[in-house]
Amino acid sequence: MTSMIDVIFLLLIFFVCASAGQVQEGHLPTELAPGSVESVNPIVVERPFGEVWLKLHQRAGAEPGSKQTIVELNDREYSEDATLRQTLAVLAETTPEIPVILDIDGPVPLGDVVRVYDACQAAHFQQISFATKLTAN
Amino acid sequence: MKLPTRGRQMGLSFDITPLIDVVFQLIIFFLAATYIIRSDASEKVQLPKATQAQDFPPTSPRRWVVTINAERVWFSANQPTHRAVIEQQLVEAARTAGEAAEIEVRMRADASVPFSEVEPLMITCAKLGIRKIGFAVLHEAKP
Repeated sequence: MTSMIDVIFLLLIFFVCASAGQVQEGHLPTELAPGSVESVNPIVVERPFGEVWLKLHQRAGAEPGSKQTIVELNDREYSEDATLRQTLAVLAETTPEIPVILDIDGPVPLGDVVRVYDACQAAHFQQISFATKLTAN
Repeated sequence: MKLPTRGRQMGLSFDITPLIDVVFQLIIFFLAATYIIRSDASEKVQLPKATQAQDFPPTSPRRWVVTINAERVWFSANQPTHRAVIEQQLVEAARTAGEAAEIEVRMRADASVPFSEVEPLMITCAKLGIRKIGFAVLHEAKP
């Protein structure tokens, strides 16, 4: 019995030590719609409520050399996360079925992309898509 | 003179319990150490934060974890590689798996990585019919 207790204690200590330094990662799922790749001859889909285009681009920040991500929604710019979340929440409350399309400039850091995508998910929009540039191939 | 003879009543006996203990401990140690070393999440990256983060779903047998660190180095199966190689592997996997929709791609990208680095992989996945894509994030308290 003593040996078994020894082994169990050692295992316990080992796993406690091994897991202490690990950060619990989460998962933000993105479901790509089938056939969502751009096409030269796009299929015209009727959208009774229109679309919400969120344009993400970068601009020179307040400090020299720094850059700030700006989110543009219906010609209005949002630099504050809280204001954007509030606007999206109000919009989703009335028409959650309206498609949201994220048009993201290449240099925008992924952290800001995830922040905006997270805000759209938090507002409970039913359809969130990523816009891509049409290329030759 | 007749010497009294004593029959051997007890043979040599070894207590093998400590040996079994040690062997078991070694096996478990190496199993656990191997798991930690080969874990896909061993490359250090500063993940983005999200309020809608879910707990990691049960491991899918067709899950691909792609890590991109702040220096824009790509890792697959904890080994540095190139994006083109990963895309080729995905093409092969989608072909052999038959059902590309079963494949799940999880991106562990540093928050500072520009979107242009990640976008081509997302387009490749969409073209291959891989629908399940996820971003690895850190949990953030809801505002």
